[in-house]
Amino acid sequence: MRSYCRLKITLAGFFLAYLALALSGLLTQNKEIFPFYTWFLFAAVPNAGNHYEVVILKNKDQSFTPPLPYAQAANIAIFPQAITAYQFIQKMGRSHDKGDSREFAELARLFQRDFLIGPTTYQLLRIYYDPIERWRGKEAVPVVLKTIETTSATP
Amino acid sequence: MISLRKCRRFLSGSPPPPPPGLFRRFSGAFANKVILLRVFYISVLLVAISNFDAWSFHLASPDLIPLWPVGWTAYFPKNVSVISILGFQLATALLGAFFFGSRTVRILVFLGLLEYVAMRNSYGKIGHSYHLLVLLSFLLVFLPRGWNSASRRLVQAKTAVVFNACQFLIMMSYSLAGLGKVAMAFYQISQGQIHAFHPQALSLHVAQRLSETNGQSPLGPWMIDHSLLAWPMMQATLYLQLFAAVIVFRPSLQKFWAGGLILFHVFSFLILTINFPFNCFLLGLFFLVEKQPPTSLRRMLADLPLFGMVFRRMSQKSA
Repeated sequence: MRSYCRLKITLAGFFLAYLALALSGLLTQNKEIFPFYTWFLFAAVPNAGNHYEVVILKNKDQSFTPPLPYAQAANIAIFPQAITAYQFIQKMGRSHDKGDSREFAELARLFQRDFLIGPTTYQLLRIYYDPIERWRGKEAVPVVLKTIETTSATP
Repeated sequence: MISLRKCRRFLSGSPPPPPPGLFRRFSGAFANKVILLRVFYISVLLVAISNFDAWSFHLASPDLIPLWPVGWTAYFPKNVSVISILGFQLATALLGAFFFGSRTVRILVFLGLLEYVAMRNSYGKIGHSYHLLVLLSFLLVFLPRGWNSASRRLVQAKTAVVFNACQFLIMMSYSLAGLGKVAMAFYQISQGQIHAFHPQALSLHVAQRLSETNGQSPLGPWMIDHSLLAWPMMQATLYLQLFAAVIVFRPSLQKFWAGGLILFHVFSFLILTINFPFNCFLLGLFFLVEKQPPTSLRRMLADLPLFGMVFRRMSQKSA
């Protein structure tokens, strides 16, 4: 019977530790101490505000006029429609706006390495929009933050 | 120990008196749990085998940005590390499918999954499709010796406790998701922003998600244009998620809640193109197939979190 009580207490301890680790994970860069996740998925409702986008100007010998949004760039983008790519671009944009040039250069290097195929010239844009209006086709005016040209595997 | 019992009693609301022949039923339910836990280990093998297609991706992909469980890969050539992890997961999953009775094998299965899922998520961004599988395999390490052929009551009781802990872990993940949404809603209200209780909330989520990914979802565009009809779905989701953990202590509602959460995943795919197939499988395994005592609609209504109190009072008055 004592082992039964011990098992219950151990399991209760596991859940408390889980909560502690999951919440501590929010303070880390990945927002998570793997595999203890808070599951705070889609917590914030997206409001009108600044969003960041990448558009491709040139890839290998092919130029794009008008520039090709990353999410539509099959054969150039490794994960064109993945949410991971979108989130990475937001991270790059925020880093640029913060003025942290070292962090931005590192993120741009990783973006080229993990999200693009071949040497690419692309622009990082900042766009203010309301998600529903944008979905309905209202054009938002983008601000070009940076044009990045990569000639090899890394910029 | 007493406080744990108090906690359980509080969460279970107003449990009915134990039915006659409870212990005989307990043995039947125990046999069912053993089968379900065996199926869990077969599903780990399914993960290993169904991911054969991804081997070439992992071998061809760029260097890992390793999470801590695969931090050791930094000291070895990438292909050696990747093949070791994939091979180890396959080998441990095969072992688990045959020898799930052994605690050593269950520890190996957990380590195999931990390494594999950590590697999957070592490309700069963490996805969450397999997290529950890893955590459940950890909890199942605590199954007592002889759990799969037990006749002793103590072993049966310990197995049931571990099984219930697995159920709680699954539902806790949903409760945390609900809690995050509700907490953020109060923050957004304080900021004067549109929040999770607002009629436009789901439409905004859908519009944002489909713009982000350029995704084509069957129901997404319709949801954006009919935000008032989407609103009850959003509120139902919040209710289902927030109180999911409480349901573990209210057996009458378990199948209903698990079904609701599976439907939530189905609609998440149809509306937002987000797919969590393993969560659906685990909900089915630990709640839908789980043997429960027969219940009534009145019992279910009385057990509902928040609203159950009203139904309990109504039935007390009519009695």
